[in-house]
Amino acid sequence: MNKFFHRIASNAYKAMAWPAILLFSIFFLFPLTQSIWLSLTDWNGFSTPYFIGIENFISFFSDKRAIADVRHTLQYGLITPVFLNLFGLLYALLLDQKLRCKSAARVIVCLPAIVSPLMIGYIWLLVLRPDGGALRDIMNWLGMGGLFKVWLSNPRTAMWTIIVINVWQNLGSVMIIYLAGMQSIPQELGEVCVIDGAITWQRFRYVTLPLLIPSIKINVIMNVINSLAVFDSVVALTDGGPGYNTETLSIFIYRMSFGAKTGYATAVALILFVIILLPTLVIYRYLAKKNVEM
Amino acid sequence: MKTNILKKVVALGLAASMVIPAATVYADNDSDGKKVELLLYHRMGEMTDWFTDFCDYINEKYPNIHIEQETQKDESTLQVKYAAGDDPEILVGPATQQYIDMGKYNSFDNFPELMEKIKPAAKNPVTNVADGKVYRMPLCENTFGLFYNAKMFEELGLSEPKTWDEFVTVLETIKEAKPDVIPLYCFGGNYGHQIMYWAFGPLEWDYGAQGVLEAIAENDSDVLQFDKEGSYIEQYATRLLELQEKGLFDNDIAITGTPDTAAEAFAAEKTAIVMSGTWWFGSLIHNYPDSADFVSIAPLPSIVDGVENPYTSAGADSCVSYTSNPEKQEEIAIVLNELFSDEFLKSYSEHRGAPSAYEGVESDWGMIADKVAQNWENYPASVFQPEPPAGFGLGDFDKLGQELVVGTYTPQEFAQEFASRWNACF
Repeated sequence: MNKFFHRIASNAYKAMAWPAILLFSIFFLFPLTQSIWLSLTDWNGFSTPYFIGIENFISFFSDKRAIADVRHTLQYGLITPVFLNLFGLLYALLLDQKLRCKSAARVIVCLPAIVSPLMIGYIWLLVLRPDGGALRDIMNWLGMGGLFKVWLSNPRTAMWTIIVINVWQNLGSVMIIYLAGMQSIPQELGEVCVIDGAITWQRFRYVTLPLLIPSIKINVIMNVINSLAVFDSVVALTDGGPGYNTETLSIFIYRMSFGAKTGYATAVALILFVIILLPTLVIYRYLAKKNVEM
Repeated sequence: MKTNILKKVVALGLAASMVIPAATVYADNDSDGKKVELLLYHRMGEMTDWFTDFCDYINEKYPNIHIEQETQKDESTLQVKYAAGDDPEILVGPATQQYIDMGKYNSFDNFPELMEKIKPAAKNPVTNVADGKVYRMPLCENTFGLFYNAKMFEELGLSEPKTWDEFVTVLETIKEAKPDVIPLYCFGGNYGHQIMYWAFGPLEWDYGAQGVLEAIAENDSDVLQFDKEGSYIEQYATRLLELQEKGLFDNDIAITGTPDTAAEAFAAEKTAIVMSGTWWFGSLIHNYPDSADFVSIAPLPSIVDGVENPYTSAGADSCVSYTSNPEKQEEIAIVLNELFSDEFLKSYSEHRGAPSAYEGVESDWGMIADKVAQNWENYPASVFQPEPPAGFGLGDFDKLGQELVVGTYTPQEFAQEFASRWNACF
């Protein structure tokens, strides 16, 4: 009897995992298996879905609009993290120095990050609009009105404008993670470098940067995932336009899903899942090799 | 000790604040146990106040009914509701052919008086092609046309254009005389309606409204002819690019502009002409009452060469549908009888700024009412309202129009792309 109770007691910890397993199954595994099934059907969102094999996946590769959207998604999803991390790191280095008004500067950089991307999108839309927009008025006032262009209405510049606005908005949150990483680096290491005669660049290259790998890993992976799945800011700024020139896969999935092509949309969602998973795994494995133990 | 007591009081207060509202809800349900709950779902944010007043009126007059309204601009929310089995009892606006085909709604056969008093021009477009029944009953009529600044026209000695060439001449005159004014306010969400009236309109003259509706239902390419050389879609694209080439609309606003910015520009006299419907006029007058001094409406010139008569349109607006679910039908009938009473139809038409769709309902809906009546009398009215296939709606027409304006397509390619997108839905 004692042995029985002892076995229960020693295995009790396993039971504690069940709530998490249950939630994971309900909110991830079940929807995922359901999605895989729906992606193989012609479901329109209402009527009975019929199995059509991998037809949706084949259609995807011959769908010009979807392929163009993959291009837009990759353009946005791979360029945004580069600028975000580059400028985030620069800001963190700058604001890690002994500066006056350092706290105020940190708050200013972080402020846009706490506002909803939709709100930011609509605010910038008002700033950039050609008729009555603030930027045009300011540029006219400065005598530079001739340089004003409606970047959001030009297919060549619209996506770049969205990238710039998103980098501006999310810089603060990236910077905060880098700042936290920098502040966890022991000061003695820097002092040793100074004694050894290392210049600032060498100190950054051989001490700060390797020890920031965990922060870089978090930032890059989170930024890549969020950027490849971008939806809200693009909807607010261009609604995927002009035409479909800035439509990303997330927006395409949404439109197909509510355009009586729910089965097809689910197949595209699974393809997007793979598109996000692949670079994430590559980056994760690459940065894992660079990890430095303190 | 004191802190402990304080903590207990705060904890008790917080717990009570959570329990009391729940208890109130329970008490409410208990006392109104026999109330029948109805949901009136609509997509017209600008009419929210009107529907609120209507629901309040019903709730006060009929103690056994509790009706609430829900405004959702995004059409996808209705699909989510249906998928969740949360069907609204009454809908205003969003019922599509797809839902009608699925048997989501009852026909208005049970309302014979209503069927008698609706004007034919409003009834035709809402009559279901498959069975000849009406599943969507309009609250008012809508008309499309060229809303123009009559003061500016008078100042420049211009008259309403009757042909496309005259239309171009009018726009060019405005451009020359007033370089700061945008002659035609073409905006990002304008192309759907332009295609509907400029490209589908001529089809209606060739085959009749019913003929085109049937062709759409069967995707009859012999009638629709989207990708045939010289098709109306191609002619529309050619005409639009002609206006663009002559600088008669602003290229940037043609992408980023919205109906709201169109109203703003029109009210500030920064634009001379906006092609739109009475729903746009309603919001113009509501937001910029001073524009009533100079707004007027002209019929649409045809895009087709050699057609000398312009045309106007008369269509159904704010169409009401009701659920086919057999429960609550008695209460739904009570609400619909009230909604379609002369008093509420008049009030709706006046609030919406659109003509009434019913005989005998005289409403003072706006300063252009006489002009609209005059246009209807003098010019043929397009009564056709195409129901684009699910997956290629007016929003997609807008997107294609934007792509045309930014130079993605030639008119021929535009027509082919339109045909290809359209055919993919069948």
